Amino acid sequence: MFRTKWKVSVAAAVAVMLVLTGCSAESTPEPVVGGTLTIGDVAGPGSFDPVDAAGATTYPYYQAVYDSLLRAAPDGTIVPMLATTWTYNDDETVLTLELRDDVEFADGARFDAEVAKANLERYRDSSATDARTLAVLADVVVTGEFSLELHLSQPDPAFLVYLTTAASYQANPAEFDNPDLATVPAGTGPYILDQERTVVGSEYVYTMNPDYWDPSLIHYEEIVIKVLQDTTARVNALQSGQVDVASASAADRAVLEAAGLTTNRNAVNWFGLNFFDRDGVLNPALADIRVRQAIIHAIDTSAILQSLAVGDGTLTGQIFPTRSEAYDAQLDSAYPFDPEESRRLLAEAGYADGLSIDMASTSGLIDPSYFTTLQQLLGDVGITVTFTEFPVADYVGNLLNGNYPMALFLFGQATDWEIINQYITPNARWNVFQVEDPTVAALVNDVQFGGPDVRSAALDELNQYVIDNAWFGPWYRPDLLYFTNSTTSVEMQSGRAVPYIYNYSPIQ
Amino acid sequence: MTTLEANNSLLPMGQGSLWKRVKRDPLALMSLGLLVFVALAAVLGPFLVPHDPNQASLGSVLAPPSAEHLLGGDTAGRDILARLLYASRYSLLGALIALGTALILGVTGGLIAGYYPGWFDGVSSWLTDLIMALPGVIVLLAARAVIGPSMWWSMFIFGIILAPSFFRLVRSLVHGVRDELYVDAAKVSGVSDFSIVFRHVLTVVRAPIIIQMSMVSVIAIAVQAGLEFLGVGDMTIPTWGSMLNEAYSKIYIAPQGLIWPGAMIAITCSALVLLASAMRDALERSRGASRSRRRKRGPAAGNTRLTSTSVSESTRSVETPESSALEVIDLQVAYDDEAGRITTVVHDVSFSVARGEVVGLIGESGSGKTQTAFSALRLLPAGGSIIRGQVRWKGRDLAALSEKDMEGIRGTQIAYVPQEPMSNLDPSFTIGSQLMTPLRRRLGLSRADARARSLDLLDRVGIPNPKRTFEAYPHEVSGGMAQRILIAGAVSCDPELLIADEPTSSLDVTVQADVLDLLRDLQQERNLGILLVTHSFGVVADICDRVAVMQQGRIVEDGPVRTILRRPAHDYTRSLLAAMLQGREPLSMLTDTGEEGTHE
Amino acid sequence: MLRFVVRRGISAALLLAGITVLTFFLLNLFSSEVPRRILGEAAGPEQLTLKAQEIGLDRPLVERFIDWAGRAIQGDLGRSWFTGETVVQALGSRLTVTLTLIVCTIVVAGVIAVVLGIASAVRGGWVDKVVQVLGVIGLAVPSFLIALALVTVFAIQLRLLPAIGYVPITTSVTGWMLALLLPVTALAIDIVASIAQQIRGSMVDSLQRDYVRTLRSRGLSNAEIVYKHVLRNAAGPALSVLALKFVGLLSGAVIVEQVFALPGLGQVAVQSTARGDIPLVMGIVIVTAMIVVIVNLVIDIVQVWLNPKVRLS
Repeated sequence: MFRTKWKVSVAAAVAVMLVLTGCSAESTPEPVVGGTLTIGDVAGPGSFDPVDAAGATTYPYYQAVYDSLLRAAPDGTIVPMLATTWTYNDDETVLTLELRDDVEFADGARFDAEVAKANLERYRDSSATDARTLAVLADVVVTGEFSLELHLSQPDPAFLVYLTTAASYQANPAEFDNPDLATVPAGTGPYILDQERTVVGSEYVYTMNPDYWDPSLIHYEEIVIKVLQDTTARVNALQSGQVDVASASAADRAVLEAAGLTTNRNAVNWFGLNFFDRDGVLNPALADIRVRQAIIHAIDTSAILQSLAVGDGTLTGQIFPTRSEAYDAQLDSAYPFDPEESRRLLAEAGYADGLSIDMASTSGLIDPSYFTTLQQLLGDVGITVTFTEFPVADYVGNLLNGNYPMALFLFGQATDWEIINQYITPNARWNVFQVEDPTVAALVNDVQFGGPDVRSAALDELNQYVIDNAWFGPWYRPDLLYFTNSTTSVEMQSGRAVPYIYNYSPIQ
Repeated sequence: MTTLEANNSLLPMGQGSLWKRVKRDPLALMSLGLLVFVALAAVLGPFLVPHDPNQASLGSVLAPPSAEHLLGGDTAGRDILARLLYASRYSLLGALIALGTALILGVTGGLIAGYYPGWFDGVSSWLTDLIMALPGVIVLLAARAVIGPSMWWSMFIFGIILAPSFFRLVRSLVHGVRDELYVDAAKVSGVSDFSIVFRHVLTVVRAPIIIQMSMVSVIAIAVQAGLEFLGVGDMTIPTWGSMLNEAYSKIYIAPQGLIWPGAMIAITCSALVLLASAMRDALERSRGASRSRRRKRGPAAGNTRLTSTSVSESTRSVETPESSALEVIDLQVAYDDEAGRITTVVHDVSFSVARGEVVGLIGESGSGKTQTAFSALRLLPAGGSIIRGQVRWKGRDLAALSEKDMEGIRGTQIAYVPQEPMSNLDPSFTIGSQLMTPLRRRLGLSRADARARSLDLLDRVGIPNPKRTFEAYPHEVSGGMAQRILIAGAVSCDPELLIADEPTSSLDVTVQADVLDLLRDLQQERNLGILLVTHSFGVVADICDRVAVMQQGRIVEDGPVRTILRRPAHDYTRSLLAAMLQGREPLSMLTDTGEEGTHE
Repeated sequence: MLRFVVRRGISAALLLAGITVLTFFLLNLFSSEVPRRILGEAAGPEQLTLKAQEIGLDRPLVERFIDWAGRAIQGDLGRSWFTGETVVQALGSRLTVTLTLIVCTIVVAGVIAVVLGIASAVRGGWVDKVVQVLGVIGLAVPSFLIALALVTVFAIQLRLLPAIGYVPITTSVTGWMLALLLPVTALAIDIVASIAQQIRGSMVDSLQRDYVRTLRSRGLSNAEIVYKHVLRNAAGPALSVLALKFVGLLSGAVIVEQVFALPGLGQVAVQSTARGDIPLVMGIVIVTAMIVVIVNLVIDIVQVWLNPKVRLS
């Protein structure tokens, strides 16, 4: 279904669990090191300067060469990386980190607290896509050669998660101003980019870093990532053994399984409708809650999942994932498929004679079948949808610029706090028309400052509230499918579309 | 773009005759039929199928063909037949937009640039070069980044990219006809410039433009499909390319999805290509026909039968000198035409040429004299062959020799001096190299020896600066020089017999005598036999010992030159002589022989 | 000869300058969305503004052009806005693949076309028929469609050849040949067809020329006449066709590379134009235009060498 380039799709789907204390997981026993792993990927990375790492789908390219301060294990647990311990103060505004003292850059420069400070501040002040994740970082105080304090302007429940992402990649400060950093990474990572054999944008070759400080993270002598944008090209490559692992669409699953490949599933997004224009700026009809409810009732999500997505997904009606504290299975069936009810609601809202809605479409990213089906189903209850087609690269921009009242898209399901800040608060980027709601504001405040118990209750209430008010019309959580051959195993990364580089290992 | 093979060589030709010719070609008719069918499907098809091409039915995703969906359902459960018909409509419309844009820009630009040379011609030709240096697909990709995935805009821009193919074609055609009489005449008669261009010139360029149109359509269809296949096209409307794109993403589950749109592209484009080539053939045939009619007057004339017993008798009574080297006996040459009919152009010809003897073969154009000469060397043009008789040379019958053995005789024993000097030298090689090759191949000379001998030969035939001529290309020398070079080439490998086909007739009168003198000198010097084909009794009188007169493929009279000139026995000979003498001073030999005659 | 080359060189330079100016201004007219495309949906307004400054979108267009052109003349085409790779570097590796593909196609197609062309001119018969059928297929069926058919049959059904990818010749010669076999075949059919037809046509024409008869009258063997004289005279028109086909071949390669996922110019062209990576798009347009111009220049020079008459005009 999502045929090409998830790159611009949901970026920040982040890990589940927030481990707020400084517990550190035991490192796994010395793993077997395999020969060469060849990964087929959808889109290559941008520049190798960490501030240019846009979106989680490209993280593996950077993880091979850069280390972050913290690391998210496949299940989302936060584990030590360059920082060995982390501790919050009581009101969660000062985070104290202790760093490893045995890490060096390629030129012999030592990794220390000053380096970490320089990298964090550089990222925060850069044009990085996710620079805003460090917006609350007011000050970095170096308290020792290998220890530092991060002072936050206000608590951010997702801050530790951000420290596992591009926001905390550690590059050699000596290279910050060198434009070659774009193609010659300067990190401390488990692999070294082979400049000779790498063709930017199509094939990336990494060789094992023999001096790496944690050999248990290295599972291969060499990793090759081939960029194969086209689904069919990836399926061809998987079948012919040219790659060991790659994602493919649900439609190809049967063929690939028949060819002896193993399917690995991961649901990290929800797919469906987002009603941006809840104040009726562009389309007054959408200000009416009954119209939004009518639209949700009109969609036969079950048939869509079965026919178009070949059943590879789970129906849902809420924007929080199952692992979330806010999740309530009951809410998934709040608005069942019911065209009669839909027409009734529309009539009640005064649209018995139908209404028109303008929407954007992008067939490069989402199979046109979905758009045509949506058009069909809404047409059946009297809503005329007119689509304007955009290139993949401009679709999201058009939605975010507020040019359309509602949209069909694939939305990320990261941690609760991230979901709130992506979809619900007035500043959330997917709250395109910055709709404010006093009830929501109060609940969000409770989540941020209320402590664990208040937070849990507030999350439940918040989820219930946005569903009752039909802010969103989720259809289902699609399974992202990764196919591996018999010698390769992969652990999917919780909340991330693309598995981390550490998650691959050889099967003997 | 792949198109720009402007068919500049096409000569102007009226519309009606093109259509008439194409109508007779079954392949062209079939192609035309297919195109009409595709066009009808595109125009009417959508009204005939009950389904909306975009109507997605979740129950019909990848459905097999059924009564409801004749071709089944696609990846989104849409009716493939409906999509195919709409796709034909959009794809053809897209191609038409590109074609229309290219046509309007290219033809108008070409007409103006061809008719009024000057700044417009300069600027537009430069722009044309600029456009042609750009790879079309990359430009379209870049354009899409700027204006978004609109098929209509893409095809409009592609039309601009394709315009040079029409521009160049029209410009060169107009250039060609601009100075032609009828345009001048129109100018004189006061018709305005504008209507000159559109009335006269447009008629002339019409047929080539039509051919170019079908080729441009093919390119437009292919590129449009390619872009849509890349997924960078407009996915909201069905086109052949977007159908291919969708089918390709499901190639493992439903590879048959590729077949329909693929077949539509292949069929439409093949029909266009076949039609274009049929039209081009028709044009060339009509041009070729008039040309070959001119060229092959000889064979054609042989159809008429001439029977004159006396002639036959006289032919047979040719006495054969003992020293004779070449002996042609009862030679009969015929040509196959396209329809398989055989036309005899030389009938029962017999004559002989002895060593050291110069024999003239005289007759009007088309009398078969050149065919006879070619037969002696076995160099008849394609389709011609010796069907009877013998060409005896040193005890062997050349008519029955293998090609390999024949190669051993040509050049070293029997050599040839052609009629038209310029066209008989290969324009791509220097004169020196053309002289040296036979010396090296046939006589086995070394490079240096061959070079020295060639220079000597050039010197011998009277080339003023042999070295410079040796290094020159044929187009750098005059016609007289070229003929001397060809004579040098003919004698270079020491032949015993020369066959000279009208060696002077295409030369300036002043040069003719010199060339004949050269031939005579060489003949005496080397004791050559010469078979001299000519239509001029002057030449015969000048150089020949004996002469045979040919008419309509037969030898009507032969004998020693003096005898024939003095007492021509046959009416035809007399008329030839009379024609030659008309309005001229009598040739000295003729008057001499007259005197001599009285002595006898 | 020298004057001819200089004159052509100057007009080529003018041509390139024209293309450059046109492309630069057209592309930059619509560059306001680029920061969003680079940073993706998550970026906030501050980051977008910062990015726009970083890539110089805040400066006047003319100033940017002068700046760009000044560096371009020294061979510095800037850096990709997306990957930070220098454009020269990015195109260098891609160009190798695309040119390998194109050169192999031309060599393979050239050899086959010459053989077929000669055979059909000299022998006629079934060879002639094959050339004619190929001619229709080659002209009518787009190369990417042939590529699709080849992938389906040889890679997916029969599994004889790799479906995708490129193997550098330095890694494995056999691998390289196998990887190129299908794409080259897909591209070559059109070229074989048109050149074979052209050679056939001009050879049939040349064979009827008077000088051929004269050469034969000198006792030269048929083979020598055909291969030396007739072929050389037929080569000129065939080369003209090749020059025209070359631009089309570049376009065809762009699409065919996508089918076979070859890391060539086509891939980078599709990516960079979709994203609005203006420095890279500029680089691609200029480099491809340069290649076309140079190839045409070379072909013109060869034409002059082949046909001495052209030298005068």
